[in-house]
Amino acid sequence: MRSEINSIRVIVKALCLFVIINIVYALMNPQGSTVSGYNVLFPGRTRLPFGVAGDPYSVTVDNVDAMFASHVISARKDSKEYRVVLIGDSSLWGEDLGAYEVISEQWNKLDAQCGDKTIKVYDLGYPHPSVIKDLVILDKAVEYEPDLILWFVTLNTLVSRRVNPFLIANHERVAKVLNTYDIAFPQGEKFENGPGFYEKTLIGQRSNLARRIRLEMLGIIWTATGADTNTLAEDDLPNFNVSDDPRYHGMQPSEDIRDRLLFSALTAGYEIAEPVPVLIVNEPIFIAPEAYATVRYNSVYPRWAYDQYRNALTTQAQNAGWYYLDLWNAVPRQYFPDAGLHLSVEGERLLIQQISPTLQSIACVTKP
Amino acid sequence: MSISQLLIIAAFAFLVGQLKKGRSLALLGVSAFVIYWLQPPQEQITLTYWLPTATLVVTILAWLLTSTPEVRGWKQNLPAAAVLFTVMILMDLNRYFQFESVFITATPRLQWIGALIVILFTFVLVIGRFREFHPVLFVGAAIGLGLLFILIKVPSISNALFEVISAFRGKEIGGLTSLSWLGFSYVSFRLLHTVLDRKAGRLPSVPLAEYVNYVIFFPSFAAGPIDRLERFTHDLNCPTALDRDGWIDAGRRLFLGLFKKFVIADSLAWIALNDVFAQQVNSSAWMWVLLYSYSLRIYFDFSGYTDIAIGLGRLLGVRLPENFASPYLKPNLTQFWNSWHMTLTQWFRSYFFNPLTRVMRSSRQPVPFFLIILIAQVSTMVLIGLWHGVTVGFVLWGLWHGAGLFIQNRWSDLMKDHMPARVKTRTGQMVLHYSGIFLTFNFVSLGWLFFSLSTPARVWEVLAILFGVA
Repeated sequence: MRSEINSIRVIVKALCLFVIINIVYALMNPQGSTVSGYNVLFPGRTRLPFGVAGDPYSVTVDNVDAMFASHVISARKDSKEYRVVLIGDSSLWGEDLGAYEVISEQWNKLDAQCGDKTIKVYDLGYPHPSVIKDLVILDKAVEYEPDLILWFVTLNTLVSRRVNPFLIANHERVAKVLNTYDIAFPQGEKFENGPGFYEKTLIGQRSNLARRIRLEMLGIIWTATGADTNTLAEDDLPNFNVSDDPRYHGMQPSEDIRDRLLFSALTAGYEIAEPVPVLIVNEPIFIAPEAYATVRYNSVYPRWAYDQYRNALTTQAQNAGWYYLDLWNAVPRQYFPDAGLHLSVEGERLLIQQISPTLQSIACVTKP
Repeated sequence: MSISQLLIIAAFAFLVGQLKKGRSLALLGVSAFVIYWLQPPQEQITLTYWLPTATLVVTILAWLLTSTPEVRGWKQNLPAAAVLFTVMILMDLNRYFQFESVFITATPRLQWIGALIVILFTFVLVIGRFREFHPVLFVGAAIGLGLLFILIKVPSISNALFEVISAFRGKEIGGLTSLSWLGFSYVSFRLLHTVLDRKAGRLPSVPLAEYVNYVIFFPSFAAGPIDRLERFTHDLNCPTALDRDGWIDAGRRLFLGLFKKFVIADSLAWIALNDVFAQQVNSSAWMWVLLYSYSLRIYFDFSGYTDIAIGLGRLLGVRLPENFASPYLKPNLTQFWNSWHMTLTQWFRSYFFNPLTRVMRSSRQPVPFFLIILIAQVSTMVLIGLWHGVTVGFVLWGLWHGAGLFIQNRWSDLMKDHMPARVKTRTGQMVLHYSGIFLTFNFVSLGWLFFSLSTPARVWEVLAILFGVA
């Protein structure tokens, strides 16, 4: 039997359902779920998921729980494993390198032993230079029973207070860490206020949800190809020409950069990791020949700013009694394909050689 | 089309569908607006305006050719012409309105549009006085549409044409690397249908509003299905009531279509085989997974759009024809092609396959039956391939399916008399049915390699990996 239908009622009912679903989603907040096909259906990723536009292999998922769920570190820890986690930014993440070329994979190929345990290294680098971002990742990493933490820092890491999507997506975790250890909040009203109710609804989260689903779907591609990026470095020689601009983040050489360095975040990292030892590594940078660059070391750092930072970090590490390695010039310039901060595969091998003795001494002499 | 564009279009469909009076003109206005709105930006920016305008102009000219003097009355068609010209002018005036989110703001100068409208108006007025057109004109129109079709499918031709225009105008306007004329693949087939049927004396003559509504009906403009004029105008004039069943039907199709397109197909797109993945897949099994993902993706994408179009049409009281009927569950290739993009295959059957086989059957020199089947099926499938784009890959895809259809046809013929007894049992039939589905799906999936990969060489490499001989 056919009957007329009231179109207004249909629309009102649909709207009510839509609103209810959104409210329920906001209250449940499933974005923080650690349910994932990685480490179950697919092998865990060798590094945290990070994507660039147009790359069919990759996707950016800023939620730290989802990021860790897809990482190989979420697999069960073997009793014979000495777990080393690496924290840092894009140079550690392995920009322009394949997923199996990252530093942790090269380290694991060495099959280094410490007593009856095998040293297993996990790359938890993520491409935003931010010590607060590192702190949040470290805070999450301690849930995975590390035996040693290697924290790669550089000047940009300690200076940056920019609000990035990672910090916004993990607002609660960031706020918890910063409040607990009394670290200044990143600048930016959007961050200070935190996500509103709308941002937590299904509509507000639609982009994050789509990227989360895509990350799970890409598990198939990850398993099928072993690739998580399509943007690999070309074998070009680095460009030595560097500008003569002395400014750094708007600061002039006459200014003191030490006030801008967030050492309090490094101290907080030590406290969070306790009793797990933390080795802080001042990561290598590209150093242009002086004939090409008298004012700057490279396109990222002016000499005056970087020298101030390095001296300050060395002093801070000595005063605080931190494990510290200053490897700023440990890798020759030909191993920086972008003439900046990112290493080639050979460069990473050299870096491993530089760190290994210290790592062995901490891991095998110091009882964790 | 984005999901927000589809939601706006659904709102248009709902509102126009609610009208008791002036429905046809409102639909015409919305459809004309939508073809401008959805036109992708072109390298030559004013082309973004000229391409939809050309769609309207060509459609009006085709109406002039296919209509009889009885429906060309001045009073009868003036409102429709006014609506179309108003949309043309309003879209052009966006250079003053500056609604960047709606349409480009760098539109051609208004005097050009004014001149175009005056010329078109005069042309219709003069030509409209003719009672009958010479049959050669219909053939010429069909060839002209075919040439236009080739123009948009072969970038090198459109590029060369632009260079000629550039030289003629004495201006450096740059070339074109591609031409994206939204919906013209479908528009040209609808127009060809009317021109060819009119020549054959099968086409009802309809007023301008009905004709243009048929050609640019916004739910099916960009991705089909390809309706028939007589069926469409029947629904347009006697729309199906949007009662309870209508609502459920429209809502179900819309929801299903959105789900298929934006959830299933778009998710599968992330893992579907493409040139990039093909180079790094590490095993035969995973290559099959990626190929199947592509097969499913293309189905859900296309059938999702069809569901959306049918759902939108239902809101407007128009029942668009079905385009898919579970094609991947068909036990042989003939049945697959009877259920995949059905309106396109029906079109080719009516206007190419059947006439061609008729010609060959009635030729003075007898052509063997198997040869008729081979030539007709292969040439039809190659043409369908070329409809998607003029590339070697699409030709090979057509040959693949043409050969498959021929072999399956001959095999079925042979098996009619030589079917082993054990196959005729219930179990035998069931095994035959499911193995047929498996074989057909895999045959079709292998054919999609020509769609998903850019060169035949890469297709060959992937085939080698799929069959473990790489």
